[in-house]
Parts: sequence; structure tokens; C-alpha cells
Amino acid sequence: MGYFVDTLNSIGATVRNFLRPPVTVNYPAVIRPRPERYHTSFALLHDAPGDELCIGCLACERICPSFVIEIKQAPKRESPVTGKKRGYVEAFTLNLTACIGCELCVQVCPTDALVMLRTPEKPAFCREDLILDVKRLYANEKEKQAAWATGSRLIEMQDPNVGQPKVEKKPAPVAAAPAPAVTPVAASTPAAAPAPVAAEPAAAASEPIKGAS
Amino acid sequence: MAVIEEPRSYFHPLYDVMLSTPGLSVGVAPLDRLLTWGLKNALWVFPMATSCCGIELMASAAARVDLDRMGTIMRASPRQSDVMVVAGTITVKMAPRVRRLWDQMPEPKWCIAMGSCAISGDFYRNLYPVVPGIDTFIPVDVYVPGCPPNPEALMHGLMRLQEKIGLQREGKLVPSEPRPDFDAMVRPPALSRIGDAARAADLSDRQEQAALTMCPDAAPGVVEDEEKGFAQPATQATPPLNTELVELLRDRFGVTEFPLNAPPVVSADKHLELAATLQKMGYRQFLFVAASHRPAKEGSEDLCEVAYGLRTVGAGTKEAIWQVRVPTNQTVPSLVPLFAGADWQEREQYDLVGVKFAGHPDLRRIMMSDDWVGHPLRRDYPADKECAPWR
Amino acid sequence: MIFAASLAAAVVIVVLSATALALWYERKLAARMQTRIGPQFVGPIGLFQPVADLLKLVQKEEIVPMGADRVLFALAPPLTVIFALAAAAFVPLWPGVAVVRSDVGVLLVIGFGGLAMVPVWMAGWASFNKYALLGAMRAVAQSISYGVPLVLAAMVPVILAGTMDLDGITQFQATHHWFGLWPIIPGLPAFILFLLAMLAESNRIPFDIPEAESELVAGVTTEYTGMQFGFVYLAEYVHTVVGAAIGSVMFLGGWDGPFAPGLHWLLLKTLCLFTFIYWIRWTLVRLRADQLMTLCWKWLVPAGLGLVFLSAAWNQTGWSR
Repeated sequence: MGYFVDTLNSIGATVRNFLRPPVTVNYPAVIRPRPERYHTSFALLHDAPGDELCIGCLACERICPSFVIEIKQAPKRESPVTGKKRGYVEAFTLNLTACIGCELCVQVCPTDALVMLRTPEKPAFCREDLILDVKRLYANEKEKQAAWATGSRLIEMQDPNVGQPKVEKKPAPVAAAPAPAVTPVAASTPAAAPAPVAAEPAAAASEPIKGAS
Repeated sequence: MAVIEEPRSYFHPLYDVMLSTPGLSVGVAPLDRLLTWGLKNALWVFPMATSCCGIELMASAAARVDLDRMGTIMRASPRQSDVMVVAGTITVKMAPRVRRLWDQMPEPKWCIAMGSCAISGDFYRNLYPVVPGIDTFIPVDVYVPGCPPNPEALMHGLMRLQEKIGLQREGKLVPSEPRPDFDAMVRPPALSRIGDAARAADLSDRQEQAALTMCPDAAPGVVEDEEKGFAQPATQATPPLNTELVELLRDRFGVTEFPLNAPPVVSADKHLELAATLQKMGYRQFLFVAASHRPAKEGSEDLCEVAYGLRTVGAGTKEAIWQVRVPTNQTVPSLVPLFAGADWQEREQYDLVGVKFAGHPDLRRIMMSDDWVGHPLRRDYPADKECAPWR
Repeated sequence: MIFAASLAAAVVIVVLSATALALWYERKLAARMQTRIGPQFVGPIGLFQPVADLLKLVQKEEIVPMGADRVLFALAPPLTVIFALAAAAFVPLWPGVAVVRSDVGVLLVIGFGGLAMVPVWMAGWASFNKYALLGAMRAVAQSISYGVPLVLAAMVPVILAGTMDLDGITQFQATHHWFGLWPIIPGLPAFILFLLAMLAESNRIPFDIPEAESELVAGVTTEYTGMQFGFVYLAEYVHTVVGAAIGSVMFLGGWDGPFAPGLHWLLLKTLCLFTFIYWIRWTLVRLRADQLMTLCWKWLVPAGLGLVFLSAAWNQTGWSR
């Protein structure tokens, strides 16, 4: 008798589901809102005056558990914007094929130069296409939407004196940053600004996908 | 290193017949478009899911991202599927099976590498049992990056595959983004691979030496120097010794040393007798057998340390742990006749460390593939020498 | 003669195209039951999905496994379709018209249904694959077992109508009552019994242990590729569609209906039964082999025997005359 009742119950369940509207999000046309800390790919950022943020300190390369970051430091030179002498990178290669997305490199970045992106990379036809060189990392800054986390925000979140993260806070104290020449820029960086979760900009939503014919 | 793949394209025999029939050849171009349309929109997936990416693969067929919308369903048999989605780490033992399933799929067929592990081996890529990327043994058409990629990303990957199928059928080479110089830019693997030009001939020997020098340099049974950092300092936190076991070992088995941080050493010929005695005393549960390898040093030979653990059953359980030291080429009496639970565990120790157990009924490899050379957890095992063809 | 031949051709075309539509319909139905959308990208609301599937299957390489019996291996899939289609010949389409009118139509229909197991066994044997062989053995065992309640359930309308002619049964129902509704006691249980046994005969969920993916990869179809697989796949749906048609003829009055009796009523009832069958299919889980046999021999066969006696008793009362 139990089987019989269970059978009737389950038949009722399928009918109830049949009458509900489908929960499917029509992917290529509509992109499901991604959480603000959703992170897939990477970008390097510029600060507000337009100077490169990365100083080539190798912190991310050293902490990466998967050894995917390869940095070639450039000799120190004067910044074209501030005029002070500071470090630059000559080559910054991020091998996305072996990245585990742990976000540690973002966490250790003293200048908030490296961020992860909410917009994923396009699936590639060959694995070399998934290696992000410095050009693509800077291009990603303009093309794609950044995730919430930056180095200073993550530090702030972990500091017990500060407590829970407050996104609207004044420019984050980059206390641990050994970057003398760069002004704290966490909140002023365009891509790191807190973005509304639900409404992705149209440019990010319309990825270069063609629906099946 | 950079591989530009030739467009693979399979044409059914029917196709040749149509091409050679005079009346029909006119219709081939529109027909070809129609057939390509059919191929693109009925991609049945063979789910080669081995780990966490497999969960995302399942989720992509579920309600939120419904792969059925683009005509993709999962088939359990490789004979009826068109796309193999490899989702997860592929080990060296798994790789021949994956290859075999791939070979069983009928042409035309495609492969999607889903997630970092399938693309490159991820951060396991320098480990002895992991294949550094499935494109070392099957051709991959689309790489979906992510760890793991979410269901939408997989669907995007399938759409890229549709794009690629279209280009292949038109006979065009698949375009690639302007690609950076891979060799110059990416750090080579921590261990260079066999066949790499950069690999020095004596590298394997040097690695062997390095492995030897990495070993703790201590006399057996002695509490090691705290400053060296190899041993835990013997503090109050160490669990008290099992006095019953200590008395037994001292009185009947002639053991004199009872270090606080290591199990007492019992000679191999008395080992089985000890286990039988303990079993009669109520230690009826087999806990573990764990082996480790000590390579030869001055004054000591190549040793295997095999630690055994037994436990009483019921309230107030006591544990009895001891170890046996034998030279690597000698055998340790197996506990399988006394404890059936020792069977697979001893097989595992044999497989990974190479301890030979005398009297074991079925001493075969259990984790590595049957044709594996060497025992990977030995200290002198060169991490990249024996794992052909992927290293 | 010419009329019969053209009618047969028409029936084959209609059944095959209905089956193609059924493929789409089932996928849509299943999707909606799981709050999905289902095929969507090809054609309006994914209507061309079966066409795309067919075009793809035609282009796939055809593999014959090493060690397989080549003749049987190639012969089995088309035979499954032919035997599944054969039963459609006896379905009365509108009053007095079927492709083949036979006085023992019920017997022939059930016979062809049972015959459909022969190519399944052929496929399982010829594949030289243990999964295929195990699947075929399960399918044959199941088919033989469930043939008994199927016959017993089919006996009820035969006894009630007093004829084995399918058209005669339909005409009796048109003049008296539909057996699925009245007499309620042998009629409705017999209808349910018929549906269950037919589900089991065509190896559909919840009776699909012959192709249990978790144990047997894909059952008898494990080694079939391309269009060979397409045939077996098609045959399953043809079997279900024709089975639904036979069920509606024997228990729901076939072409009979208010206003104008005719083919449209038959199609409508078949569609309803088909929907019901797939509703069940996408709801229930698979039965274990022993549960399957227990259900058949301990419950369905005794129930069927009882129903046969009850319908004979009903005839003796003379209430339906």
C-alpha cells in the first residue's frame, strides 16, 4: 500500500512541476546574474591617472600554489604620470589552463593591481589561447567586469579590528603596502568599484556568442 | 610545442556515392549545409566525468542551464555519442581507459576538455600519477577554462564546438587568436619532461641524488634533535604508552627501546607471533598498515619500515602499534591469515612502497596500473622517469 | 488491393512521422516536468530536433564490433522497426477500415508485440558484448512474463464484445459503452493492467531494466552506432505509439466519439494515452529485476485471471445487451 501511495504522490509531484514555469535561464540570450565575488579570469588595472598599478613585486608569483604566474621585472624608471621612480613589469604571463581560482594572488597584491573577473574567458580552440599575457590582462580591464575582491579589501576583511567588510568605506588603508610611489587607489579604480549584482552592463552581458542557428 | 591541428573531417560512405552520382552532385552544397546543421544541433555527450567538474557537467544538463535546449543529451554508451566531455583529473591509470572509450566512439567525434585538470593537469600536473593535460593522448577540440567552469561555460564551450564544426565542414582552418609565444612565456614544468630538449641527460641521476639527500638523517629508534625539525618533541601531549603492550614486548619479545614518537621495533621473524598473541589478548580489530622507505646511507642499508596497528573492540579501547624494519629486498610476514582486513591495505603498501609480504594470498598492484614500473612512494623513485608516455 | 496498399503506405508514413513528432513531444514533456524548457534552438520551439537527430545519425560511422555476427547484427535493428510497425496494420482507422481486417486481430497484435522481442535477442546475441547480451536476456525474460497479463487483460474486451476482431470490438463499444469506463469492475482494472503490461512489453520506465544505464551501459543497443541505433531508438517509440493506439481501440472506443466518429478521435485518444505513458515514465524510478517478476507473477497474473472470470460473469448477467 505504501508503494501505491508513494507512486500517486510522485505522479502528483511531476504534475505540479509541469504547471510551474520553467526555471531555465536562456543562457546565450540571458546571462544569469553572477554573484559579486564570482571570479574566473584575471585583469591588471591602471590607477585613476592612468599609470600601471603593477610594480612587479613578484608577490603573486611566489604565492601561487599552482605556479601559473610568470613575471619579468622591468628596470625601475620614472612614472610618466607622477614622475617618481618605481617598478614596472616587462612581462606578466598568467597560465589560465592550470589556474585553480584560489584568489591568493589577488589577496597578496600590495597595490591592488591584479583582480579577478566575473566575466569568464571564452572557451578556446587551442590551449595557448588560454595564456594571458600582459596585453590581454590590460585589455581585460577595459572589456570585462571585475569581481569584488581586491587585495586591500581582502586584507580589510581579515583584520579583526575592522570586522566585516564595508564596501562603501573611504579609500582602504593600504597599510602593508610597500609601494611608496603609488597612492592608495582601491576605491577609485574604475573596475573595482562596487557594481550592482543584478544588473550587469550590456557590454558584459553580450558576450561574443552566436546562438545556434 | 604549439600544435595547429589539421581539420579532422569524416565523411560517410554515402557521401562519396552522392558525389559520384551525376544527378545528385548538384545538390551537394545545400545538402552539405543541411548535414552540417544536423551535426551541429544533435551533439550527444559522453560524460567522461572523474571528479568535481563532473558535478558541473551534471548541473549543465539540469533545469537551470538546460543543455537539451541545444539538442544535447547524455548517452551512456560511447558508440552513440559525438562529444566526449572530459571533466576532471585524468590519472595515468585512467588514461588508457579514456583513450579506449575515445577510440570506441564513431566518427565524426569531438572532445571537450572541461576544467583546468583536463586541460593541463592543474596543480597536480607534476605529480607522478597525473596526466598533464588530456591532449597528450587524445585530440581536444575545445578547452573550457575554469576550476571548475560553471554550467554556462560548458554550454559556451559546446557552442564554440558548433562554430568549429561549421568551419571544419567548410574546410577552413580553425582561426586562433593571435597567440603569444608559448615556449618563451610560460614557466616550464618544475620537472622537465622526457623528450624535452631542455632536459639534461644526467637529470634523472641528479634527481635521484636530490631525493636521497632530502631524507631525514637519523639513526633508527632515536628521538631526533628538536632543532632539525624532523621529529615532534616528546612532550606531555604524546599519548601514554600502552603499558600492556610494553610489558608484553619487553618480557616475551626482547624489545628494549620504547621511543616516545615512534612505535617500538619488532624483528620480522617474531612479528607474526606478536600479532597472534595480541589477537588472543583481545586486539581483534585491524587498524592499519603503513610503510615508508628509508634509502641506504652510510652504516645502514636500504630499509622499509612497516608499522602495524591493532585495537581492542568495545569500551575503553586500547591500541597496539609496532613496526617491523626489513631490508627492501626481504619480505615481511603478512597478517592476512590473522586479519582479513589487512588484505587490500598490504596490497596498497606493496604497490606504493614496494614492501613484499610473505604469505599474502593475492599480492598484486591495487592503485597503480598493472604495467607500472617501480613504486612511486619510494624515496629513490625519480618522479618523472618511469611514467611513460606522459612524462 | 491498390487501396489496401496505399492505405498501408499511408499508415507507415503517418506512424513514422507521428513517431518523429513523439520524439520531440516526449523531450518537451519531460523537460516541462523537470521545469526545463527542452529543445528550443532548432526550428520553432525546437520542432526540428528529431530531424537534426536523424541527419546526425545518418552521418555517423557504422561500427561492427570484432567478433560480432555480422548478418544478425545488421538485420536486427530494421526488424525491430518492422515488427513494431506491423501491429499498426490491424488498428481500425475509421468504421470498417483497417489496413488488414482480421477476425483474430487481437491475437495477431499481441503476437507481433511478442515477436518484437526476437530482433532484440538477435541484437543482444550478435553484438558480442556482455552488456548487450545481459540486456537482451532481461528483455526477453520480461517480455515473456508480461505477455501473460497482457493477454489476460486483452481477453476482457474480447469476452465482453464477443469477438477478436479489433474493428468488431470498436463497433461494440460504439453501440454500447467504452470498456475502459463501463463495466467499471472488469473494465477499468483491465485497462490499467493492459497499460502496465504494455509498458513492460515495450521496455519503458519503470520497467526498463533491459537498458539500465547504471548496470548495462545501454542494454541491447550498447554496440549500435549511427542509423542502426536510430532504428532501435525509433522502434521503441513506434512500439509505444502503436501500443497506445491499440489500448485506445480496445478500451477507449477507438474511432468512436461524439459528433463525427473517425480517425481524429483515434489520434486524440492515442495522444492522451501516449502522454499518460510518458508522464508515468518521467515520474517513476526503475524496478529491480526481482520486484519486476514479483509484480508480474504474484499480482498482475492473478488479477488478470480474476478479471477474465469477472468479465465472463458480466456477460452472463446480460446487462450490456
